[in-house]
Amino acid sequence: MASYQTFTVPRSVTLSTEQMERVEECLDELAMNTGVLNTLLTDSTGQLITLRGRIDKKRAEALAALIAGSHAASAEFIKLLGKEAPFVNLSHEADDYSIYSTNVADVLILSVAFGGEVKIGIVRVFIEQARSKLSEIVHETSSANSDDDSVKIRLVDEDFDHFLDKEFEELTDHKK
Amino acid sequence: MLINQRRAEINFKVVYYGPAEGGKTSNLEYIYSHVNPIHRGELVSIKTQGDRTLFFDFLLIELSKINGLKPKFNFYTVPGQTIYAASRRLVLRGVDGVVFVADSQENRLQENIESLTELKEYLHEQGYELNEFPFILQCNKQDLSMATPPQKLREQFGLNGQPCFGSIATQGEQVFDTMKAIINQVTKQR
Amino acid sequence: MASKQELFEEILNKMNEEGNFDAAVLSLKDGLPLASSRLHDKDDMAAVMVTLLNEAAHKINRELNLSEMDEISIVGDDRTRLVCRYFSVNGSDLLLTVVTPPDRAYRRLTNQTIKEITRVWLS
Repeated sequence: MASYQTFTVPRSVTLSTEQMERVEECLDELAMNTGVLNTLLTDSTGQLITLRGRIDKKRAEALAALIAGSHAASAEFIKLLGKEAPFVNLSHEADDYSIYSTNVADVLILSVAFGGEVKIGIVRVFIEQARSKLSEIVHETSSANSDDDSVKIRLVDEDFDHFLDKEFEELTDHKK
Repeated sequence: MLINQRRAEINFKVVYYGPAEGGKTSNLEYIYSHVNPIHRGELVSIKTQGDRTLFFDFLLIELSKINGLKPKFNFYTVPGQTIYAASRRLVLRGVDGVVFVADSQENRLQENIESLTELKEYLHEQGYELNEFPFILQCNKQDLSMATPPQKLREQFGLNGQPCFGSIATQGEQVFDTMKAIINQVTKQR
Repeated sequence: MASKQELFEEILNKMNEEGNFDAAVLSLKDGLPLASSRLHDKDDMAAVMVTLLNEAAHKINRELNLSEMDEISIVGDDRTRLVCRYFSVNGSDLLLTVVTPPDRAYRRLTNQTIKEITRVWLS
């Protein structure tokens, strides 16, 4: 039987299964109300939480990092301009395709991609509603864990070194 | 670090830091082209027209599930040029571990030290001290004639006791060893 | 299942057919279009122009100390009418703008349309 080592990491974002269900309901509702093509929810450091639409998952993971980079960069330049309140929404518009993203409680980023037939007004109104609901969920998480400084995770001990060796063999063992 | 219980995933962020043209991007490019595609994502590179990193490079690597959780490692590099200090600070946000890619050439010692000093400052802003943080020193360009040996470089940086690898990133020398070492560090008890 | 925009556009189309109106756009008070009928590629511009008109009218209203506005109507030389109706749903301030041919009744139909839009919005 494998032995376990407990370790402690600084608290980050933890969404429970029940909270994720509510998050996904919120995104489904947003997609239905607006008719957007793809919806992404990421954390502010660029890690993908969930997505909706036909976009490939690996592409979405790369997109998550880029969107977070955009938001982080825009937060910095507003500081340089001497303003206090950060940008909440970012909009990237091309002729027939747009991406609109919004900051959720400074922890998450909600982004939607849509074609030219969808009106920006509809996106703005309903993404704002979604943002409100997601903020509530995030604030629940914060208050539920406010007594803990850290999250405890259990990983395998001696087995982990062996696991990692095996994993690296598999990572690099493929025919190009 | 991000835990997604529904997807049973645990995400870590690792940043390759260091002076300009030290080999940070070369590390990621080598990893990308030698890792089984089913275990990795797209390599994202935001570059200038002169092929220098402008904002960051990004690569996601997935391992198999362990104890019910799938570890995923988000690897980033930072732009090394002096003018991009603000961008480096941004990319370091939420970092779980750092690989410092030093340029081993003798005449680059000063740039290495400046970059390391800056890294310590930015980590300190996030509440971390370098000697208590998952950290690997990679002394790159060991193939060049004026390269300082890794142990000496480590001493010059005042990093005695920190794990150290001598590498040739363009040829893949010690690239995976470095990567394995940082993965080990970010997932194990500090 | 149809998006809100598609549902709003159905409502506007129905209104235009019944009233024999030339065009209609539903927009936010700040000019962002939500849905349009028969305007298509001009709806962004139309919504913005209407917003400017709305701001001017509100300013005049305040200066003259008139009570809250519900409607602005502009009639052209040929008696074509541009009508802007204001309403709120769920905290969002909206404008329904309609272009009607000369001497066409619009008030009852626009009231009905506003009710339907509100119903769909809240559903």
